[in-house]
Amino acid sequence: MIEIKNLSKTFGTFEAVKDISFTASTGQIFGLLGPNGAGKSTTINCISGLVNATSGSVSINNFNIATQAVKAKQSLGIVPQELALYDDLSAHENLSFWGSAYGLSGKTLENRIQEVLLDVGLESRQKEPVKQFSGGMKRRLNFACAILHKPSALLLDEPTVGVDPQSREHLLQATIKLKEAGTAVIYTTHYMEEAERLCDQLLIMDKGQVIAAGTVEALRQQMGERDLITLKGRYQEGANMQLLEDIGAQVLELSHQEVRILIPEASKCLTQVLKSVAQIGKVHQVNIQQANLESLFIKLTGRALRDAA
Amino acid sequence: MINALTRTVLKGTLSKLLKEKWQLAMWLVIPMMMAALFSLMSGSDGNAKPSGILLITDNDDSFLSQMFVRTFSQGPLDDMFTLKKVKKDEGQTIMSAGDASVWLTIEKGFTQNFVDNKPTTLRLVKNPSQNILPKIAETMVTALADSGHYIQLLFSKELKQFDNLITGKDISDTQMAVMSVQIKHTVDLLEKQLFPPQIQAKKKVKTDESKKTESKHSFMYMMFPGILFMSLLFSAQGMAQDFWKDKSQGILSRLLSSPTGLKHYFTGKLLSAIIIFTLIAVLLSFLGVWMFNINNQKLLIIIPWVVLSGIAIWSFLLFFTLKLPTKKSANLVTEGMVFPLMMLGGSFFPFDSMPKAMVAIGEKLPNGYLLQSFNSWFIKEQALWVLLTPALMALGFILVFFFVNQKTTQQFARNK
Repeated sequence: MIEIKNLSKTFGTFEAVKDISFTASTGQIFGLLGPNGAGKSTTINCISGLVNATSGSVSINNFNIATQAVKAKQSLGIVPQELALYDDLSAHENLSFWGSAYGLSGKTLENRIQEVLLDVGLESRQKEPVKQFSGGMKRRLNFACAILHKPSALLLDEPTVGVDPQSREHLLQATIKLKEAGTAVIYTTHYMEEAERLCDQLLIMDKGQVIAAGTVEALRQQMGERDLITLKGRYQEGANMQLLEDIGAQVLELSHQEVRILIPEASKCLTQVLKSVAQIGKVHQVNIQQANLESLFIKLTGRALRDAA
Repeated sequence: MINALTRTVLKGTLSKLLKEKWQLAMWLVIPMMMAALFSLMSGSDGNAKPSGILLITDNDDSFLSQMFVRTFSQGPLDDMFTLKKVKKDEGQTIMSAGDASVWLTIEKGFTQNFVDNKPTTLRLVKNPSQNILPKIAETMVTALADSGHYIQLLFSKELKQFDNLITGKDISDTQMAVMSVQIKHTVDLLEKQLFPPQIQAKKKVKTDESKKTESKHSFMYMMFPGILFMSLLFSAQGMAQDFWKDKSQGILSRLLSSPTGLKHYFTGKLLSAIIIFTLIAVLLSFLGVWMFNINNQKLLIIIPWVVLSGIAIWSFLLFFTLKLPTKKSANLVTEGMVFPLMMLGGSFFPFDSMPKAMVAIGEKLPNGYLLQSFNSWFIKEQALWVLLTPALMALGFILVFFFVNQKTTQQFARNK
């Protein structure tokens, strides 16, 4: 279990994380969602002890990371956003290195190396130097290094950034397997679909603050039974949107090139929507989708995740 | 019992180093190459000795002309000049090709003109691309010509009677006796002017026994400890840079999130440095045994001393490496430090051939202090206990830097 209470981190005058509290329980994947610079990695660094928190506390299995660091770190695994591998050593040698960093040795270490290699699908490439690996394979090995010592708490900091679909699937499956084995996982990402698929609990962050928290279902309910319509085209910024609001739409975003609205049963009222939007510009493309976490992020911040990133 | 991570770091560092054979070779070869070049530049006794070819065209081929030429094969000039007798055309060709330093032509009738107190010509052609040797030859010829002039002034009469001897004809015993007596009379007459009473000065030189022993060693032998330390400086700088390589690969920050990983990592790096320094010490010491016939028993002191010094130097350079903000700055600064440390610390030139001000600075540097102490035993052949205090100082230095660097590594791993 990972418990974070009133965590804040300030760099000079910049507040990277502002008073965050949450708990990632055993057998649960807790997602930290937000654009780049939202404070996710700083939170992860505070939890792993890489960065000392300005205030608040972090405990792993009831051991405080600041005052009982050795005990707390014994049951913690971390997959950093940036790879932490020796390029000139083989996959096996890298695993051997990281396993020994957590006190594994001899036959126990060797058995675990073979198990995790199997988990991430690299068993046939274990003798090859890492520099010959693709980006996705390196990510999988980076993941494997963190789970060698069977941690009961695992921090995954954007583990799927820039990986191929095959590697991503391997990583997601391995994470689910760990959750099923009872590991408390904190998973940071800015991919909404990953968060929706994996996470039991979610915390959406922006500018160091929590803007929404709860289960995926609870967060979806905040959006109501509504669809998200994205209309690409050319519009007058700051135009009066009263016509849209009159037909029950909630305008999330109006920019020079895009209008985003939330509306119940979009397919039924699409003609009305197009008529209303035609008053303020020219529509080139229409996209309708079920409201998701991204819609929620837009609703809460007025910005799309990718724009915020 | 060595911790598993320490063992892995040790194994990994050594295996990486063995894969980079060129780096390892450079740590050993560059110091040896530099020492060999310095030795070649300075000569085996430390003094430069230029050498070149002196062409002689002796058109007179007489006793006196031959005596004149032999002057260049006497004493120190013999080491400088290789004499080669040539005909005029051959001399012209060689000089045009720039293959000789000077070309001396003695004209026909040189001896006869000398005896007859007539002007004579010695032609000296100098190679314009050379400076030292042609000047030496010119000075020598001028000095000989001056001497000849004074002999002509003083002994013109006697020289007339030498005529036969000089031109290679036989002279009778009576003629020889008469000439000898005449020369003696002339010398007696000039004795007061030529040999004034001398003030006998007694010069007492206070000899330093330790310096006396230095002179019996060759320049290369005296450079040997410097070579060892040069190798230590190169390898210590390279190994300290490893911390930056590991940091840039994200290893150190990830180790920071493990229970005690960074501490064992540091110990592993220290142990690998000890092994590398031992390897360097053993290889270079055996080279010393082969080159200078160093007593095998001395190796029992040389090897541990080199390892101890290596660790002290590594700790010193690592401190700066960890304190600098970027990999590039760490590399630039420590590389920039290595050469002045070598120069001031007695690795380029033995301390005894360095200016006092430089020695005063050099002795205060960790490598300079340890090298100077080592030289007291190795070169000046002082008793072994002279190494005791420096060894304790080095141990203390290493211990202090061990804790400082271990702590600094934590901060180093944390910094972005």
